[in-house]
Amino acid sequence: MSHSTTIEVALPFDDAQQQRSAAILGMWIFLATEILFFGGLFVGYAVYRYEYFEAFREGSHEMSVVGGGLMTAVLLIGSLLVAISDHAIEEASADIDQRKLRRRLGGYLGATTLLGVAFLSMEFYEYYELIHKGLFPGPGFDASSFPASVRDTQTIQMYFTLFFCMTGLHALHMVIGISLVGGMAVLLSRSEHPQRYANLLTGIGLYWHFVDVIWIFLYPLFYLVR
Amino acid sequence: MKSGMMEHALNNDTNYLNDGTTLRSWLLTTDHKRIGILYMLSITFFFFIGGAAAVLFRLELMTPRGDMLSPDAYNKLFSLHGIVMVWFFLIPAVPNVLGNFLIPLMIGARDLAFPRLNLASWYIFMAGGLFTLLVIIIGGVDTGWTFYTPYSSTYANTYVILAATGIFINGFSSIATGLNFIVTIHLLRAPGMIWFRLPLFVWTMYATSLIMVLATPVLAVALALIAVERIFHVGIFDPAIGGDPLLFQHLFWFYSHPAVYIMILPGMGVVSEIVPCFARKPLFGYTFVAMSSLAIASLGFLVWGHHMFVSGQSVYAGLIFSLLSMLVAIPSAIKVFNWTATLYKGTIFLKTPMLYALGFIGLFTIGGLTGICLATLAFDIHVHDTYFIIAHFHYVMVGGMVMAYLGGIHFWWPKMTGKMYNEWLGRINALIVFLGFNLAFFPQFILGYLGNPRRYHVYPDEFQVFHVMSSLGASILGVGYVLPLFYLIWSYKFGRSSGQNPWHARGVEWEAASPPIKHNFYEVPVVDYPAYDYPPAGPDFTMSEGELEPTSPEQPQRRITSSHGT
Amino acid sequence: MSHSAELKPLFYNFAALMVLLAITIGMSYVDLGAFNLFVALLIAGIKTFLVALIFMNLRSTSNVSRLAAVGGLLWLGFALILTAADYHSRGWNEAQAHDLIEVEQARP
Ligand SMILES: [Cu+2]
Repeated sequence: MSHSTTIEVALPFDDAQQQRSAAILGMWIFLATEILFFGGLFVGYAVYRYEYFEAFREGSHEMSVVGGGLMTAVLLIGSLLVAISDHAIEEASADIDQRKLRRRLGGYLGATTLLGVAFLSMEFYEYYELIHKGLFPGPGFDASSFPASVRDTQTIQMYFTLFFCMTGLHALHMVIGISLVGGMAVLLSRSEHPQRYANLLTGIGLYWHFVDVIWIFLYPLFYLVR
Repeated sequence: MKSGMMEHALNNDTNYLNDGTTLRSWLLTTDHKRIGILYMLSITFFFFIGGAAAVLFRLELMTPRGDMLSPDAYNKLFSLHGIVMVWFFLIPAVPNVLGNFLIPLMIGARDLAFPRLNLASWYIFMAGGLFTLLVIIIGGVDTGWTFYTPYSSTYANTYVILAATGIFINGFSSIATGLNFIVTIHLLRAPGMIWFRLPLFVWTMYATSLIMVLATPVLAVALALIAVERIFHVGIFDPAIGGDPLLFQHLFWFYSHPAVYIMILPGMGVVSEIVPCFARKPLFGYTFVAMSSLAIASLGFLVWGHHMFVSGQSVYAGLIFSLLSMLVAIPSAIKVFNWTATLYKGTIFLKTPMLYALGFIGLFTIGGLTGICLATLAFDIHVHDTYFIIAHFHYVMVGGMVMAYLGGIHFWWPKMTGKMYNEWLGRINALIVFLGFNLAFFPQFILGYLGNPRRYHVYPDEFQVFHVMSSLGASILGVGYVLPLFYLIWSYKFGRSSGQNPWHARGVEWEAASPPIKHNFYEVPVVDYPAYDYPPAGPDFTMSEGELEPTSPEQPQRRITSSHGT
Repeated sequence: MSHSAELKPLFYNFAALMVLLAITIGMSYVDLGAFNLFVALLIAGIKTFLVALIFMNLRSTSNVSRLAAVGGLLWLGFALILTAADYHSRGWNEAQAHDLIEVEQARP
C-alpha cells in the first residue's frame, strides 16, 4: 500500500486498505440511495409521458437540442478531468514531487469546477428564457402557443412541471458537486501531502460522475422527444 | 492491527458510561454505544408525545359523540400520533438504539464504520423531530400520517409543508444509519466472524438497512413533490390540471410498505436473540431464518399496491399485488415456525425478556395472519379504512415491535448499564403490557369487521362498548409503558450489579465487559464458533432473582485470543 | 509503466461517450415511432455503463460496490415496472365501466 505511509487510519479500521474499501462502498450505497431519490421523479416522468405523450413532444420543441448537447459535453469533459485527477492521486508514489502533483490536481479540479459553473449558467439561461416565455408552470403559465390538444387539457403544463422539478433537482446536485470539487481543488493545491485526501477525492469523484449520469438520461428525456 | 490494541493498563472501572461525564462529552461523542443511549432518550421522549395524543383521542372515543375534541383537533391528534410514532419512534427504535449499541459489539468491531456520520445522524434526527414538534406547537397537521393527495396538496390548510419537512430531514438520518450499518457489517467483522456465524439480530439489521437505504429516498421525493405543488401551485397530483393523485400513493407506499418491515424486522432480530438464550438451545434453522430476513426485505418492495385496492388502481395490478403480498407470508412464517421449534424441548426460563419475546410471537402471528386477510382483494374491500386495519397494524407494530423493543431493552439492560432491574416488576410489567394491548386492540378487529371506519370521532351508539374496552385497554397499556421508566431508572441508580453476563448468553457482545469499555473489547475477539452455541445437552441452571445461576460452578469458557499475531 | 498508457482508457472512454452523444442527437431526428424512446434510453444506458465502468472504476472495485450500483437500478426497476402495471392495465376494464354508466343512466 503506497498510502499507508501518509494516511492515518481511523479508529474502526484495521488498515488503510480497509478504510478505503469502506469509503468507496459507503459512497456507492449513497449513490444507490440517490438513484432512488431521482427514481421517484423518473417514475412520475414515466407515468405522465405514457399518459400525455403529445404534450411531451410539444414541450420538447421549446428546448434547444444543440444547447442541451453542449451541456452534456461540458459535463463529460468535467468527468474526464475528475477521473484523471483520481487516477493521478492514486497512482502517485510517495516519493513523487508533491508540488507537481498539487499543481496538476488543482488545475484539473479547478477546470472541472469552471465547467460545472458553465453548465449551470447555460441551464439557468434556459430557465430564464422559458420563464420569459411564460412557460414556468403554475397560475401564470401561458399555454397559448401550443396546439389545442395539449393546451385545453392543461397537459402541456405537466411537461414543464417535470422539466423544472427534475432539472432543478439535478441543478441542486450540481451546486453541491461544484462546491465539493471546487473545495477539493483548493484543499489539494494547498496540501503538503495531497495523497492523504485520496479517499475523499474518490468519493467526491463518484458523486460527480453520478450527477453526470443523471444528466445523460435527462437530456434525451426532455430535449430529444420528437 | 496497529491501532486496534487497547491500552492494557486500562482501569477496570472505566467504561463507556463514566469515561467522560460532561454534557459535552455526550453531545460530541462518536462512540456508537453513547449514540445509542442518546437515541434511546430521544425516542422515549417522542414515544410519550405520540402516546399523549393517543390518550387524548382514546378519551374522546369513550363516547359516540364528539364531546371533548373538535373534528379538526381530532384529525390533528391522530395525524400527530401516526407521524410521531412511525418516524420518530418505530423506525428508529430498535435500529438506532439497540442496533447502534449492539452491532459493533456483536460482530467484534471497535465502532461503526463511520462514527462521525453516526453522530450526525442523531443530530439530523433531532432536527427533524424538533421541526415536527414545532408543527405541533403552532397548530398541527391534519392529513393523517399518509399525506394523501389531493387533500394534502390542494385542500388541507394546516402545516403540511412544515410537517413534511420534518419527515424529509429525518429521512437523511435513516439513510445515514442504514448506510453505516451495511458498510460496518460488510467490512468490520472480527476475525472468524463469517456471515453464517453472525447473530440473527445482525442479519435483520442488515435487511433493515437495505430498506432504509433503498426506500427512504422515494418518500423524500414524494413529500418534496407535495411541497412543490403547494408552493408553486402546479398540478403534479391535481387532476384538474392533468395530475394523478394516485401517483402519490404509488410513491408513498413504495416507501411505506417496506418501511413496515423497517418497523418489524428488527423486532424479529431481537426475538431471535432472546428465544435461544432462554430456551437454552441453538436457534432452529439458522440459515432459513437468516435468509428469510433478506427475503422479507426484498419481497417487501413488490407489494405496495395492496394499500390501493380501493383507490382506483387497476384491478389487474391489484391482482398482482395481492398475490405478491401473500408471498411475504412465507418468510414471516418461516421465522415463527423456527422460533417455536427452538422452544420445543428447550429448558425454558420465563424471564422478563422471554415473556416479551413470547408475547411478540403470539401477537405478531395474529397481526401477520390478519395481514393475509387484508391482502385478499375481496376481503379488503369490506374492511378497507376500518378499525380492522388499525387493529391489524397495531398487532404488528405495537404487539410486535414495541414488545420486542421492550424485550430487547430488558435483555440488554445489564449490558448497557451493568445493572439488574427488579425481575418481578419486569415480569408483572410484561403481563400488564400484554393484557392491556389485547384489550385495547382486539375489540378493534370486531369494530372494523362490523364497519366502523377509521379516522372518525363520532360513531353509532352500538359500537360504544368496544370503544370503551379499547380505551380501557389503552390506559392499562399506558401503565405498562410508564412503569419501566421508573424501575429501569431506579435500577440504573440503585440496582445491584448484574455481572458481565447474567443470562449466560452466548453472543460475542457478552464477551465484552458490562458495561463495555469505550472501544468495546480489551482484545479483539476471534470467533471460531457458530452463533447460539448453547450446550446441546441442556444447561444446569436454576432460576434466582434476576439471574440464571449455574448449579455447577465451572461454565465452558470461551477462547478469547488476541489477534495481535494474525 | 508510463502514466499516459494508464490514462489511455479514460481518453478512449471519453471519445466513445462523445460519439454516443452525437449518435443520440442524430437518432432523435430519425422518426422511428415508439422506438425513438427505446434507442435514446439504450444509448443513455450504454453511456451510463461506460461512465460507471471506466470513470467510476466499477471494473476494479469490490463486488459489494457493484452490487450496490446494480441494486439501486434494480429497485428503480421494481418501482417503474409495478407502477407501470397499474397505469398500463387501467383501461382494460373500461368497456365494463362504460356499461355501468349506461345502466345508471338508463334507470328511470
Ligand atoms: Cu403494506
